[in-house]
Amino acid sequence: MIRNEGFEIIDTTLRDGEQSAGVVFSVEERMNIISALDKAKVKWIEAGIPAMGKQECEDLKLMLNLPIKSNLIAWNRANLEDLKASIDCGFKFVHVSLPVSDLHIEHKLQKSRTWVLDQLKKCMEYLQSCKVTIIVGAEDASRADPEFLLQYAGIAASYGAIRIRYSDTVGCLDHFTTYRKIKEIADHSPPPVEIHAHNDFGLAVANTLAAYKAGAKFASVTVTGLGERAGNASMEETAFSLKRFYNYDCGIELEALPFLAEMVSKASERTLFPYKPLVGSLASNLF
Amino acid sequence: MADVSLNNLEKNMFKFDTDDFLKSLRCRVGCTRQEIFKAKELGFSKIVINTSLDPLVPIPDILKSIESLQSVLQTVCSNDQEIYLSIDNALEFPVEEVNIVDILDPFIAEYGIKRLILGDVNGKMDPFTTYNKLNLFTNITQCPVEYMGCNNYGMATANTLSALRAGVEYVATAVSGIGIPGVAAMEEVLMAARHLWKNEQVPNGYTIAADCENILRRAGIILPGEKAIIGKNVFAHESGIHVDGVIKNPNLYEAIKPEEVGLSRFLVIGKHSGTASLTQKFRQLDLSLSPQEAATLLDKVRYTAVLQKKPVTDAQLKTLYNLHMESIKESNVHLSIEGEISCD
Repeated sequence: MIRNEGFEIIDTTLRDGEQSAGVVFSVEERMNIISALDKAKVKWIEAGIPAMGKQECEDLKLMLNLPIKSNLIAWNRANLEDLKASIDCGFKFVHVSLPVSDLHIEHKLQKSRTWVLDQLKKCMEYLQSCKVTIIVGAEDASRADPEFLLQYAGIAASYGAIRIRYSDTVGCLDHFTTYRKIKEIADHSPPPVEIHAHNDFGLAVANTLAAYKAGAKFASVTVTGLGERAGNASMEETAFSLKRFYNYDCGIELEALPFLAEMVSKASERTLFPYKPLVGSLASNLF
Repeated sequence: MADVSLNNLEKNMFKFDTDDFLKSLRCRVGCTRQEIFKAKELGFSKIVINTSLDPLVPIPDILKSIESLQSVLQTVCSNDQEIYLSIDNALEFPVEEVNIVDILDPFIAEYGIKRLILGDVNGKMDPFTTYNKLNLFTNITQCPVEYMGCNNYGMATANTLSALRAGVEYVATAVSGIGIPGVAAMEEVLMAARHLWKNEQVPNGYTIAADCENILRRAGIILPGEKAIIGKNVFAHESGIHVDGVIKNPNLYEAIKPEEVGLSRFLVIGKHSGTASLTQKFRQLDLSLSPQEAATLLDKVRYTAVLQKKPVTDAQLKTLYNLHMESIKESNVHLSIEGEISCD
């Protein structure tokens, strides 16, 4: 039996989930979702993006004041202004993300690999001085040069990042490739690896499981798989599959998931597909 | 090839008009003489006999089940039929220990079984186990193999890709993976093989989204907008970072081009929009924005989107723009949920 102690679930329903085109949660809905996630014993919650403006920061401060055990994380682009907004909100867990594929570095940023590494260092120095816990994201990691990714991870580690997020930004991996690629990174990366899979080919959960098998220690998921384009790996499918296939308990209360799914479905105004595994109205009852 | 179940046909008293159509259908029946006769009466020449074997019972008992199957086939099968044998839970057999193939192969040969359909109807296998088991299966059996994975845990597409990788030649899928408990989504398997495996044998999918939607509509099923490959919203972009990227180069945030599946890319303006997407959107509306104007309007756009919990429509954008132009100094003007103007 495969055991991989310490594989933890990070919920990003309120960040990548809400980023889904057309979805907006009210601040009440976000607080309710956080409380429900906390109740379901989800340890990590990506709460939002403080760089989005004053109102967003006010809302995020309200969420930070909730009496919960879960750790709330702020998501950031790698610039000091954005990071400062997160610190000012009072976040203790700060995610900072840069693209690592040449495609993104050249076409989106119009910069170089050296610029990316320098920018990461600058951000890390600042965050270190703020005494917050740092998480580093590697956007489009699945299309990046693994050597460069390891170099990037090395810098993240040297500033004390607690994990590095391997993003399959456009969902272009199948589970065989994910296993091979994550194994390569997980075996050599100093910080533990987090998988962040997208569902463009319907493989987000399978890729998350492949990463688990390959030695990743964290997985980023959303309730109902809500997320940009075809969505992210769904929390319910990931948590149930880990239990079903590998007898691995990721710590989340599985019984709480149908309620959470209903809550997110209502708040996102996206009716659950009746045939959706585990939480659709026609799904076989496996609870 | 498409499967229909005898059970459903009888329930719905369905009749087929043409023999040609019937030739492309397989009728799924249970392992009884009565059901097989019924399928023949309806004109089916392709029959799938559906059975399950208990992997926990000792081999002699499995042999007994096979014998009863044998006796059914002896009395009802003729040469003008194609018989497919489907074992619902075939993957639950520990192939390494109980060699189900050794038991089945002679029987398959004797009755000229066209294909062995190996099922995982309880969705009990993960994609790696599926690969390992089917790899063993396909290496030892003489019979062509078909795989049918179910989606109880959301693994059907991945398991089906595993099956193909393991050398299985036929896989059972359904449009959008519908069914209870659901199977692999046809469009996902096809496009994954074409784009992730660069398999040129898979035809292009220029009409796949419309075709799938049409089929689902006939079944009374509404296709969710976020459905991978064929959902209308999978090429919608809202977040500032993504829109900015897609404008520069669509490959940055799209695994396949929308036109490859017959869909189109569009911008949604809402809470997560950035100045780049706003500028682009206004350009589409034939209005140009200075960076400063974009920043000012963005605040109002976000406010409106949060207030109405919805994206901001083109009409609302135009109103916001006009208001901004008319009274740049009045920064407290916002759209109400109904799209009317209010000041706070």
